[in-house]
Amino acid sequence: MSCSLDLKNVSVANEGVILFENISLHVGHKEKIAIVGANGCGKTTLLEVLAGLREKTSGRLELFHHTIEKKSDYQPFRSMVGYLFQDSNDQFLCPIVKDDIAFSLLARGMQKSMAAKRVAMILEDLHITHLSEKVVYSLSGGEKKLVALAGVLVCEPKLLLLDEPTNALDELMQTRLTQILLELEKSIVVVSHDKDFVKEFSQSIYTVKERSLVRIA
Amino acid sequence: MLVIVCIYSFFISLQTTIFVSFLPLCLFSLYYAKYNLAQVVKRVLLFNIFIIFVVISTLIAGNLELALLVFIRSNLIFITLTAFFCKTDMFQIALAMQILRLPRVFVSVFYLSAKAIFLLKMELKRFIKTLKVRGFQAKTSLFSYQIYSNFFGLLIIKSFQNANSIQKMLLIKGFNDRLFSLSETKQISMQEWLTLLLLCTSFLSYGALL
Ligand SMILES: Nc1ncnc2c1ncn2[C@@H]1O[C@H](COP(=O)(O)OP(=O)(O)OP(=O)(O)O)[C@@H](O)[C@H]1O
Ligand SMILES: [Mg+2]
Repeated sequence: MSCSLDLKNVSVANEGVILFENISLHVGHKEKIAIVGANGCGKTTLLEVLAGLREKTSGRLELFHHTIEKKSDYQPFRSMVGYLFQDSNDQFLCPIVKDDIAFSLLARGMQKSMAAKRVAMILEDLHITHLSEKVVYSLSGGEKKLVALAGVLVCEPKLLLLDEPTNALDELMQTRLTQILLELEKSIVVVSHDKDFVKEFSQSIYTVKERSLVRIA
Repeated sequence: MLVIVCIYSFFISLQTTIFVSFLPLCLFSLYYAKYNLAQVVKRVLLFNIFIIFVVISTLIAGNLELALLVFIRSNLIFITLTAFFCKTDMFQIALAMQILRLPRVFVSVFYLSAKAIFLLKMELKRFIKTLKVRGFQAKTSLFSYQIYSNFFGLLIIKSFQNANSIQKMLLIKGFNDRLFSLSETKQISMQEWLTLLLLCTSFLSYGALL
């Protein structure tokens, strides 16, 4: 089976504190996995390592069969990896919702009309068409999350790294999001505290225990 | 729009005497912003607090004429600027700068610093809310000052964190020194033609007076 992401004996530290020691993780093609764990155990930090936003201390990280040594090795794969911040305020670049969602597409040189079409489609999918002209900072917490998510999904990345996608969402939106993510034929890594969501969504669940990843389901 | 007002302010700032012919554009700008007048007035008043210091210091130096000139001149520029741009946000101004082919680095730095300042402003608002919720009352006690200094510490840490998260966000979004918007660049509107016309007439009448 081909794989999207492979960690071998990786250690991760944040500000000198070792959070993970010699962990291995394999994310297969179109596989969906979830990571759960206590607050502050380092889930976000791990996800940032996977997204190439932070250096690991040791070990090997393989992405789409290419070994990543430094942050700059990640550059060619940037457009294939989508990342959702835990705090959606961190995700926005443009003040208007539709501009922000379209940004990554336009930055890659897509035609405006094409990008507008894609944005309209994703807004439709997430049932947030009514937000398209609003200012991002005036949205509610849940709306922000959806807009941020739309900005990630619109690029159709091969690997999705989502940091708590369902917090701040209402029940209806949660089930809808689960549906959307399940329908996606992509590799997905999710960090979440939402038990129902995790159970329904993922093929395997890992938990963080004493600086290592343990598979629990 | 940006160009016109820039020329206008640049021109006024070069003047040593004020002519009535510069007034129309300023008045027109106020008309343009008629729905946001309160906001404009507020900003102009705030701005004048700073100007007053300059004016007073020149007055003390005994130069009444220069003081008046500084006062009128800066107000003219500032009123026109705020009135025209009170509705436009930083993103649009940055886009306009990009269309004018200003250096990319310059535009990005401008927009990103505007964003950072905006984030700090949000932080300030949040902090004020926190103070209210936690039942803080401003007194001239040591405790109050401690809280204030805590806030400045927080602000500094926050600005580091903001810079960090903005950097991460730019990586994720595939930012490459250019800004984009879905909305089309507008045709030159009636109002802009009028502004241009007013600008020309004020120049012409100025030239005629010379
Ligand atoms: N900027 C920072 N400076 C110092 N320590 C940090 C910083 N960011 C995070 N940490 C520490 O690193 C550890 C892991 O943080 P991380 O954000 O990865 O936790 P998390 O598992 O995502 O928690 P949560 O479930 O609350 O989101 C925490 O103990 C935190 O205190
Ligand atoms: Mg986290």
